[in-house]
Amino acid sequence: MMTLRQVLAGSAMLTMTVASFALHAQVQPFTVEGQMGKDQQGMLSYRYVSLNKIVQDSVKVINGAFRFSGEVDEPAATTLIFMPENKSIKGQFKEIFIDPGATLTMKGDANLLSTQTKGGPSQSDLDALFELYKPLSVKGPELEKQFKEYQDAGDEANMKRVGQQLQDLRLERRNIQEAFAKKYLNSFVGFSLWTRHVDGFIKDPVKYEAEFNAYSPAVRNTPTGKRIALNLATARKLLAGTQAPDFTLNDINGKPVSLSSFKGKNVLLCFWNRNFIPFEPFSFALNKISRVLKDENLVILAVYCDDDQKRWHSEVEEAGFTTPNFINVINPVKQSAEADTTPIGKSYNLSLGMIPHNFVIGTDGKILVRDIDLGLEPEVAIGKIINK
Amino acid sequence: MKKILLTFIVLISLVNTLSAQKLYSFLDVGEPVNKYPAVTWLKGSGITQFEKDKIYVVELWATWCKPCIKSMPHMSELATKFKDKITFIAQDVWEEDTTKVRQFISNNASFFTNSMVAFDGVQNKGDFDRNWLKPSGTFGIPRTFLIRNNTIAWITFPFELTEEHLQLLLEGKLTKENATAIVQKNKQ
Repeated sequence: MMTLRQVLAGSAMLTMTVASFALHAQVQPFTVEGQMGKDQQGMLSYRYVSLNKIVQDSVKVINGAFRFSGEVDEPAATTLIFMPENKSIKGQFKEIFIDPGATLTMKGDANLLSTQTKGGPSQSDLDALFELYKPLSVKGPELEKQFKEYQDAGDEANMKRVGQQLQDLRLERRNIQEAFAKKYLNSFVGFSLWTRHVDGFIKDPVKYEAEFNAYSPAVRNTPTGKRIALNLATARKLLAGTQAPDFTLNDINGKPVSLSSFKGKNVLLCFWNRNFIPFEPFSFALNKISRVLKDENLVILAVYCDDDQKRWHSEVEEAGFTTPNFINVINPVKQSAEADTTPIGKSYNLSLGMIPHNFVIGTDGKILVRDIDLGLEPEVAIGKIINK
Repeated sequence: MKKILLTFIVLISLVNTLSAQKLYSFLDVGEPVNKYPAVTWLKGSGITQFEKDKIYVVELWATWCKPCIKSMPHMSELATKFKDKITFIAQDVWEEDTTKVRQFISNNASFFTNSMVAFDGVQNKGDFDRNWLKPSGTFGIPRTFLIRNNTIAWITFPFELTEEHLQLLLEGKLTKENATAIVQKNKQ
């Protein structure tokens, strides 16, 4: 069975990947010009991210020629899909990397896969990465074909064996990516491979800071670089042992309540709303903590992160967050993938993907633990932490 | 007139739904339980509340839940063994089609010889969902609840539940600790 953390992380992950900040980024134009074999006709669709928005469009391919342009604020990983007019021919998929200000040419004498892409340092780096992938790109499809054959034959022993080989191949690919990310420190391609392994909320900023600082200033000053720098800085302020950022929010009766007013008590600070699933294990865990630790010096400060006051009232009731050690307050901001820019949102790095999120805070107002796993007997873990 | 009457009935049922009682906020081992949520009984006389001197096993299932069905012969064996002492309730959850459930019961009558069967309906609609599954943090089935003396004695899975557990439950000696110890022992 999956742990609650995994389930929650799964739902959070969807939004995390597009989590973004409003930065004053500058865009620069780009152009992609392509010439495949003259007999190629059809539609080419492309997809990339610029200013944190997904850009998706398509152009016609006539006699193998196509052209599209746009604007990007940083080097953009771009996927291309060519669908030939002749429906009996399979579509083709290709990845390229577009630098701001670049003109890319794609030339080949057959389909999309035959093209060679030139233009821009990021594209050269991508070529270097694909060169390293080469041995895998032969082995991979072969193994997949074998796997399918064994599957059809119901040969479980061989399926297991080939499945393991595929698993090893994926690991090998990951190792290649990690090595590339460490070597190409002035490359946005290397950097974006590194960012894949950085969580939306960073638990170990010290480790990640060292890795981040190894990249060149040019890379670190891209919008993605700045966003990660901001996440690192926030994560540092939320490390165990630091003072939990104070805030004042209204409780369920409209009376202002400050975190600092609980000095002398342990606080389980929990940010929540109803926009994640499954919700029940979460509310069950909080209810259990509330009951098991009712005679401990603990309050559960439940911060509802949504602007719908009425819904808040009924959800508090429905979830049963009404036992005496619950304090319900509201941060009346509709959460989205974009970061919450209110003071509390900024200091706790709130966004849709970040919720639910919790902190155990000691009697002195310092953070004891961040992000207790609510799926693994949290009442026991918290009991131990506050009674240390 | 017909239309007015219909509106009236709809209104009444709406009011009923809105005022439906919240029975439980939190269900866990050691928590008291008195009322049984409002469900449709497909087999057996059914219950509306747990009686103080009776013992109950509530087993959650659905026709789409393969592990639930796999554990039915085992559960039915236990139900037969303890038929005079323990009330077994096979509580169907999270599905819409009563006909499908009724069909399953008639096709697999031997699984339910000594159990009552109840139907709740789709997720977020049924009373059992609101007043049992959500308060107990249940987000997967199968799941089994043991009730004695108007208290939840243990929450487990059908493939972990044994005769030994039910014997201890009858004697009032089942604790979370010894129940878990038996599961561990059986795993070895």
